[in-house]
Amino acid sequence: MSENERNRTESIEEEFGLSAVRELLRIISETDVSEISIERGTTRLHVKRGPSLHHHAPAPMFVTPSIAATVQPSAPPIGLVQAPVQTPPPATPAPEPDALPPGKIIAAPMVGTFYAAPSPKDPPYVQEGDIIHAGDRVGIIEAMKMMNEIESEFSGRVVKILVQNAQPVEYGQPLMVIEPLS
Amino acid sequence: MSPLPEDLDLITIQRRLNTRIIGTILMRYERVASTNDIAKERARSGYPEGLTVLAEEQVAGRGRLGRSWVSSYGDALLLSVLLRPVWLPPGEAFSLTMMAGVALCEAVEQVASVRAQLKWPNDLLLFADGEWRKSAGILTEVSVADDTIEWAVVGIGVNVNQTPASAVNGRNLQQTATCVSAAAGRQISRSALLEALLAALDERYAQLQSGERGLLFADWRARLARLGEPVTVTLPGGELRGIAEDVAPDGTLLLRDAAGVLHMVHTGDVGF
Repeated sequence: MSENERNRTESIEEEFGLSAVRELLRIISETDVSEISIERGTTRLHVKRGPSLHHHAPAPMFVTPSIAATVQPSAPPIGLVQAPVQTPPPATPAPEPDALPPGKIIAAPMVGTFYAAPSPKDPPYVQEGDIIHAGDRVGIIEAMKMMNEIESEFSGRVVKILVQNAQPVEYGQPLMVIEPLS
Repeated sequence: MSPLPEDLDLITIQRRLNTRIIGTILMRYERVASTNDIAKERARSGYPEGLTVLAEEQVAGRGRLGRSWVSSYGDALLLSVLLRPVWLPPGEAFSLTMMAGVALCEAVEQVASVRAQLKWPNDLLLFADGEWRKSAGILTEVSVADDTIEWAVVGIGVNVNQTPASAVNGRNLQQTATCVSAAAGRQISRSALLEALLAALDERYAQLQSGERGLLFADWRARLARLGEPVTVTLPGGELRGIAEDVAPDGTLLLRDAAGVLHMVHTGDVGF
């Protein structure tokens, strides 16, 4: 390594942290990313697949004018919140809490539609009897075209799944019961 | 590996960007399964928010429920942005949908000088060939654990200079879709659109974080097409017809059917 290269590498490490640089090099070497550009403060690092590794010294910023927020006339009050509102009843009403088998409950963190699998073609994330670990995905709740992956906070055995695929769920509704393993 | 189209130059883009969070790390791929998949992988390995993954081609581009999203090589903008809104209660994750939709409209309006609307909740509609047509889609994926949003990946696919000419999900895209250049009547610079989009997302994200959700909601609502008009909503369990009366502050579509019953729609595809 030449003096020049060493200086360059050290200066990159100083700005970005050694672990960040290692991670960057790992990504470049192990994945098929074509190009990475990182900005931290006034320093930019740009890596392009191939023999060249450029370290861009701090340069004057070309500042794009920030977008002026489009001014919208303020919306009239909704006034519908008090209107009688009917929600289609859930296909399977949530059982009373005392009807649940003992164990830890995974509850819906939001209102939406529960999906047991990532897409209709895929098998469900979990089935009754499966052993899962904390952090495992157990389902998706969709609301407003947002797919919310639900992770289990607990490790254990899935003893009961309380909702069906494509069923509407309410906030806090129990989705499944996990029996901790002793 | 074939050379990537040169109109998107990361060095230039990053030099011109003056964002606080969005786009501080840009990663560009030629071909990926989907940019959301890459961004989710990076989310799980601890990348900071603002990471933006770009690709020229998605071999498994997705819409809702595994539906495919197709695009033309070099003519679209395909990107996913990683966010870590740990300060946002999971029950308010819908604000991210509003944010992405509004920012996309603002960027397109700025760069293409055309009016942009949203089809509930966040499909971009532009006027071309005599009607409002879809020219971009947004799919947001969120990971919730322990009642906290660990990360959110906002995936955006924009037809910029070409409308894909294929049939997808049983529909011929040429009849229902359009692209930004068709609406504008001229070629659109992908890099200008990307810069404007990242800047708009950054601004709207900051607004959300500072607690101005009411303002974001008002701007989102003002952009919704067809409020007060008849629509058909395809739900997971069937179809609903009625008047799209309004949206609730949580984004729920309020649809009144012929019998006068008001339905709250959280999930579904709106058709006109």
